[in-house]
Amino acid sequence: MDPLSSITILAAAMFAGFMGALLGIGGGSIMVPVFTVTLGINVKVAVATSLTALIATSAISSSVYLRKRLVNLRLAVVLEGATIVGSVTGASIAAAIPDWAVETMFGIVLFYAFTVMIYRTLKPPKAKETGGGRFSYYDDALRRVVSYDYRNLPAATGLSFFAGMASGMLGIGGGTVKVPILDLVAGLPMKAAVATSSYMIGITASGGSLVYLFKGLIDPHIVALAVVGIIVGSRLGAAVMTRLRSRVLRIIFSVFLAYYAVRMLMRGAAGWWS
Amino acid sequence: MVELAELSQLLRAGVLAGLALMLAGLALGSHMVTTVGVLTLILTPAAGLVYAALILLGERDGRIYAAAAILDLALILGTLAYMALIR
Repeated sequence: MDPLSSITILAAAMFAGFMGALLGIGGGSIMVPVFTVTLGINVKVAVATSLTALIATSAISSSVYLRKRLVNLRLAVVLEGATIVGSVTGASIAAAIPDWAVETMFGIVLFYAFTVMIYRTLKPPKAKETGGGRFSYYDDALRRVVSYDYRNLPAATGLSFFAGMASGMLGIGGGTVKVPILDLVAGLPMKAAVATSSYMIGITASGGSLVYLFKGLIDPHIVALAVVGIIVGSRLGAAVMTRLRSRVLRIIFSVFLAYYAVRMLMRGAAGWWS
Repeated sequence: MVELAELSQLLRAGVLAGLALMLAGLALGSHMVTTVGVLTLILTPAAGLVYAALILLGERDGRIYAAAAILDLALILGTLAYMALIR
């Protein structure tokens, strides 16, 4: 690989990590379309790279959340059974279907992420008040202990299978799929949902990445650059996070998502047509 | 007794070790070292599950959750074995 391509991959991964940290989303929904549309990397290689890089981001971010006791380890290990099976299934399907089908599905998911981003910009989520429960953590912002319990375990487990499938098939992380399941279905407070999702995505990505590795779709050179880039980018993003206006950023990022959603759908349609 | 802080350290160490091996493999032009680096990174969360199971075993009513963690680990290792076999 020539130095220019290496620098471009590194820069794209840094951008993904930077935006991911600023907006609280996984880098996959940024990295895959940028790699595919802008850098011309095969979509399956981009998905495999993104999924493997997510293991690094998950480990780094969840190590902080674990220390703060924000991760609900019990719920995570229970839901992960379904999520790993989903991830392996999704990765196996993605490896077997044509590129245009993966591109089309990714375009649809980007449109979904765009809709969620616009909705959250217009209507930010309110802090959930919780009653007594088996689990608790100290909330730095509220300056008190928040106690909670989870609910709807069968529904959350069933949906986790599909969340894992989406991760394995498209190389995306928890922000888009897992957090809504943990927050809205399992009833976790948002901070616990984000932390638990962050821990879970590494385990989920592990299963799917093994499928891609043995199918020969993981390019170690691209993965190494992506991991370095996303770690540096997310640290930079976390450092400037407090100085930027998130509303403006969300609107800019929504335009980014819409643009890449259209481009991915166009690529998918062109591939299907030919 | 295993603590959450140790799990946190293990995850960080696993990522750094995987990344170091990948970069070393690329610098040396060794495909085997690079692949070991990728595998180290991929299997870091699996190693974390062993720690998670030990943490949960030490908690009250934690046995069933520890068993769930071991099941997750078995699923990942089962995938690894299956993919290696059908390769």
